Amino acid sequence: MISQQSAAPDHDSSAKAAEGDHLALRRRGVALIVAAFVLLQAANATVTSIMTLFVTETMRIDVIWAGIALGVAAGLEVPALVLIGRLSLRFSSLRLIVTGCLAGIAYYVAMAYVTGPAMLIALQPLNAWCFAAIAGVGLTLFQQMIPRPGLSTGLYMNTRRVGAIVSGPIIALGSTTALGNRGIFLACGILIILALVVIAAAARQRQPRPTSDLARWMP
Amino acid sequence: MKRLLVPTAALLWGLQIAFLSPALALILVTLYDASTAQVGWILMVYNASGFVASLLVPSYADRREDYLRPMLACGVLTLVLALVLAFTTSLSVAVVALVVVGGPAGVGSSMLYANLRHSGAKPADIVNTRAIVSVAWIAGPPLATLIIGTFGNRAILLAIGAVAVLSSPPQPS
Repeated sequence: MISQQSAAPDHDSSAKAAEGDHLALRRRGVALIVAAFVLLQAANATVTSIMTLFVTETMRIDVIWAGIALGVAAGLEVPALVLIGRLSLRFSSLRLIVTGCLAGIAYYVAMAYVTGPAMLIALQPLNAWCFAAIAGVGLTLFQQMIPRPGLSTGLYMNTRRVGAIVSGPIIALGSTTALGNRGIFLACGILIILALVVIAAAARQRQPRPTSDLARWMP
Repeated sequence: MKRLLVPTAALLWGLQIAFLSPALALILVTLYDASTAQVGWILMVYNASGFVASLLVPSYADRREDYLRPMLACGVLTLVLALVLAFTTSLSVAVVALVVVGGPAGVGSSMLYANLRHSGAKPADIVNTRAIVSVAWIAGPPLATLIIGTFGNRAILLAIGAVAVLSSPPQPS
């Protein structure tokens, strides 16, 4: 009985919380966010795929540095996710994703000019923050935009898969520039800038608050 | 022993992907003389195959309400992929193997989560299992490049094959 009494308000409060943090975007806005995430995921998938090749063929250093760089980024992603979780209480999902995009742009541009193992590893916190924003905030953002949890989660997961497909042409076309493999990272930087622009356009697609919703906020 | 089965399976499935993803481009260039541009197009068709498989295999498993058998089949396919890539010298054969075998093989970890859900696991169990996959991504790439650096490019394929065998234990009756 006691547990039932305490469970009911909890359920109500979680339902209200879900309703409260719902991000009401028009369909076009949701489609734009999905497109932006395909671009963000494509950039991340590109780095994972190309790192060993970049380290051995372009930087001409031992292949182990590629593994260390990817491992450091994955390791730093855990505290980054925890920090992002805390920051999400103060800042909106979209703002946090913008910080991830800015870190991503800095990372990809710097990677195009990286010269040695120390610089390669020193840049990985930027990569970790970028991916933590995409992975951590991204899933939350999709669940805030789309009220059906199965659909929102499935759609988010598919941005990763479609992003991996898109990463192929990025590698193929990026490597044919005068910069060679370094051009692939610049292409990723351009993708993130594009994603940022698309996210900004999506943020303008907020639905007007329904009258009943407005009434809740009136004194 | 039974309690360790799911975390171990998650770790092994995570390791398979964390070994293959960073190493694949290097393998295609060093073993089959592919150019970086070719690597890009090959990764595109390979990932497209994985995307199609990620739609077909789970829906088949949902209809049968059996996630374990497709997961084990994915493990076998990973082993086949590793062996074909290790022993062929032809880029065309490698590409066909990646598309026909590699794409469906990549769905194995999704089947692990689906099997957990189907067997009544709580959301916390699923999140914990996902966390183990993240651990695999911390250790996987350095380990993969250490294997490549020490034993050569083909050695990572044999390591992936060995992990695939370990992650496909005999089905409990």
